[in-house]
Amino acid sequence: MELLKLLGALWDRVGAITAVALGGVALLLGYLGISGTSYTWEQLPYIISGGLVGVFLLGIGATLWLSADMRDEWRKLDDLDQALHALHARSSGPADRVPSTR
Amino acid sequence: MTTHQPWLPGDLRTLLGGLVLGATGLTIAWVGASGTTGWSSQLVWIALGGAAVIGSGLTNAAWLLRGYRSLRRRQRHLVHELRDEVTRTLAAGPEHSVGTEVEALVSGPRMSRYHRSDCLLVAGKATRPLSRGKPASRLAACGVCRP
Repeated sequence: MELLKLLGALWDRVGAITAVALGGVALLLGYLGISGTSYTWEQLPYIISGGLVGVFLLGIGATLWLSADMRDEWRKLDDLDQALHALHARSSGPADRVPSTR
Repeated sequence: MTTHQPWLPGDLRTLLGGLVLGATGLTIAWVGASGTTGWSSQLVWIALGGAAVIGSGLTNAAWLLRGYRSLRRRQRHLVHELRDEVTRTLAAGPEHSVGTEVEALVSGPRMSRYHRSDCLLVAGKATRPLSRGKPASRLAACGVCRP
């Protein structure tokens, strides 16, 4: 269950790794398919199913990973924003207000 | 800003639409190229596949660019807010600084010493702030927090 929670929280990075792995597999299969044929008309479909699909999946993986980085940075900015508003609320109070005691 | 990510729902729709179009184009190109043996007809399908990859790549790039720009815009906004806050705090002087609350001196009715408000020895005890933060002459300074 902990693993599922972790995967759920890191869904974008998990998706990125999965897409990159699938892209690598597609490229490898495309290479193996092309190397096993001798005619151009047989090789071209492998360029599409292996090469282009591999590049497509690698692009999705890279986008997911960079998006995850941006989301992390956005959350950090959220924290900073809240801290700044708390600071503003404290500093804009009356100058001689009674300090809080624990 | 209330969203929890640097993109708007419309950006996500654009990205998904571009990716679906790209995947569809690749599938059509692959099926088309597999069913032909002529070089010239296969070239058309290769071109379609290449266009699909380029189109989806541009969609990805646009998504990342939108996110990056939103992020930078928010960073600039926060930096301006922070600068304003620092300027306001410095202009208000030390009496108005945010450290006043922490550095305020407190004491209790039956205490013989005065403490900083964050001193561990007064944590959870009923205390009151000393007038204008200055200790009365009968009180000695706490040896732990050393106000």
